[in-house]
Amino acid sequence: MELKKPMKARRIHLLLKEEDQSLVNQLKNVLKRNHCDQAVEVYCHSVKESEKSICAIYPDQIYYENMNENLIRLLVEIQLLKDNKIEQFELKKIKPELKEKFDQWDNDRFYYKQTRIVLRNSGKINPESIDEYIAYDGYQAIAKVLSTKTPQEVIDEIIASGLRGRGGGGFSTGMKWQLARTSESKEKYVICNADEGDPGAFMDRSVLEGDPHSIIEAMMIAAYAIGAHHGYIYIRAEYPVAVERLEIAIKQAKDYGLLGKNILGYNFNFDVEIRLGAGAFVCGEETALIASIEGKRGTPKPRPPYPSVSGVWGKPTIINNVETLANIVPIILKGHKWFRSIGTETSPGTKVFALGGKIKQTGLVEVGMGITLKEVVYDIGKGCPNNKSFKAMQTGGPSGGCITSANLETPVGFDELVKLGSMMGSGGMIILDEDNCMVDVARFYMDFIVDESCGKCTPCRIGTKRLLEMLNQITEGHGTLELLDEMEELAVYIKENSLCGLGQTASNPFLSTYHNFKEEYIRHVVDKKCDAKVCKALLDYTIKVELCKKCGICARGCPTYAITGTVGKDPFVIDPELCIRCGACVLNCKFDAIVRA
Amino acid sequence: MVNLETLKQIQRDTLNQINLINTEETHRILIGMGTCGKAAGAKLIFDYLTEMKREYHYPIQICPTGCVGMCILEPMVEVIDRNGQHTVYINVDEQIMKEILHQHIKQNIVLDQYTINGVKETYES
Repeated sequence: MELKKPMKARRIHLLLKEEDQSLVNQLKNVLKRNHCDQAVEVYCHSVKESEKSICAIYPDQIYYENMNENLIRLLVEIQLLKDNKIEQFELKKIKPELKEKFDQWDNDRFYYKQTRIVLRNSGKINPESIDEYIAYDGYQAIAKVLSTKTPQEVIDEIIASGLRGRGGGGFSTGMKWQLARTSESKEKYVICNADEGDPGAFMDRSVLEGDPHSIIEAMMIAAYAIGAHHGYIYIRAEYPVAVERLEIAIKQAKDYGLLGKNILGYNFNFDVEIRLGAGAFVCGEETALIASIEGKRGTPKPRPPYPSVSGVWGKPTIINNVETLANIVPIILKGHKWFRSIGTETSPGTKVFALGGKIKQTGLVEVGMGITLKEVVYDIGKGCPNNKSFKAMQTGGPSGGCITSANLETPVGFDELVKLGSMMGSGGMIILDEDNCMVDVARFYMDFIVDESCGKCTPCRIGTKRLLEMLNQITEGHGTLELLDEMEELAVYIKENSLCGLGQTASNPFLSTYHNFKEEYIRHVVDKKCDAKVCKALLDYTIKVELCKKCGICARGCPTYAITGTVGKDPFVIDPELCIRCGACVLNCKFDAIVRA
Repeated sequence: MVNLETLKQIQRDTLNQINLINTEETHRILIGMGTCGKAAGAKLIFDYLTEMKREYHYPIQICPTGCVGMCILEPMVEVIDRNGQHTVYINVDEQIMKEILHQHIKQNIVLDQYTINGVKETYES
């Protein structure tokens, strides 16, 4: 066989006219056909009223213009594979401003399709230095607010921006502030909710670690708007780095007189205190969080009264998520029109997602609302590793749900995701591939909920426990079709009768996997098979007689002596009664003779 | 106690320092030290750099920073020079850091093989 020279890694940037947009997919197809799609990254950029379709190849810095189908084929076959230029189509003299643009795009390609508002300073400044925060327009927003705006004007600005709470529900932040402002009380409170408990979510942590001062400044603005003088940051003790940096930030702000009395010389007093949570999931729910701040056991209360009327110590309180607060400062500085220009009509602004699970580029991404989920998974996350195929995406943590590949074209937005039976939640995005069993995923989340249910109301305390037991029955191979019906009934009952948000969404992991992957559940209960090969009790190990070399290595490694045979004479056989499905024999066998099914 | 004027003053001074204008330092080195970076070993690099700066007086400004967003490539080290040229090194360890100090800081040679552009398929597991 002819050995191929490994191809140089390249980036292709396409600047396409409106009518040429389909060329992107053609280019990707041609690359795939020539087996070089792994070495070449394709980026497509849109510029309003671009005159020509131009293609730039980096790092070589070669440009071609007037892109068409034919040229794309030539480009891949001649330029990329043979490293020869296609002289007649090359754009020799590129306009300097255009070249600059391409260079800029090439530099910024790690933030390809991203818009950074919340994470604007993360990775750019030293979070332990207040001076560096001030250098990038820090504390300018509070200065602007104190010197030129009345509290009502601040609230009007936030309402006009259409900012919605990033913690899950998506309630209008400005409205929340307005309610707290109109509540009559001498004392009011501002709370920053940094109790981030969803498995796989770490956006709030990163914001607090990367840019703690922006949260403090936003809390000051909120306090000025509603007339509060005291704030709490409720953060879990499991985030030691974030807590440490917040403490430093608060101390520095106090030293500069940015917290305390007569801030910046104006008649405005504000102070912030950190409250450490012990890491209970339910304390992210606002009434439970308030109870926890007051030193009581963190259990939720029925609403109304809402915290905007009666919150901490019975006083009007606003509770905002970290990410929501991180949006406040840019809105004040740049105005609501600018904020409205990003995102969609109903969900303006950006959303930070923590990409995790079976994806090549795990990490934090911040995208403008309205981008499709497909772009997040394939363009930013670069798809699933090891050439596995995408199965589903879990958003919103245990309260959210699964989105299947059929719905990947959906734009990101609060209402759009709810329509799919999932929710935006705080922004954890866990990608599942073909090796994940959906029943097992539901079981994992249900296990989490059972642990975290506070036990105050019966549907959530006992219902989720029963649901988990039933899921366990299925994964252990004792499921029946009647059981599935019973589970659905129970899940709906829990949803309708629980006290707080945790219970009302507790059965979502089961319901959404059940609705989207019904065949998989049915295969588990009827055929007793787990196609993803995750549920151990449903697996069968057999040795293929024709492949067995009768070496006996598998038998020696078996912890339960379930494999019998004679070395060199009889093929080895696994006794299914004794087998505990540990999989040690599969790892030991050098000839792939043992199959798992 | 700061007021509006001193706030502006601090901003101007710090921006000069960050952009390495009229400073002794010639390079600003950003180390991703969020929880993701620390878990990947950024603290070791930070300690190593501070040690080197104290011992050999490298003209560098060491700046621990938060998460950049590409947690899988941590520890990440970004070197910014006086011309505003950014170079991002990924999956850095002490050995690579040593080379960066010797080549990039001392002689201004960018070590392409360790940068985010040079390494391909690093995230392929």
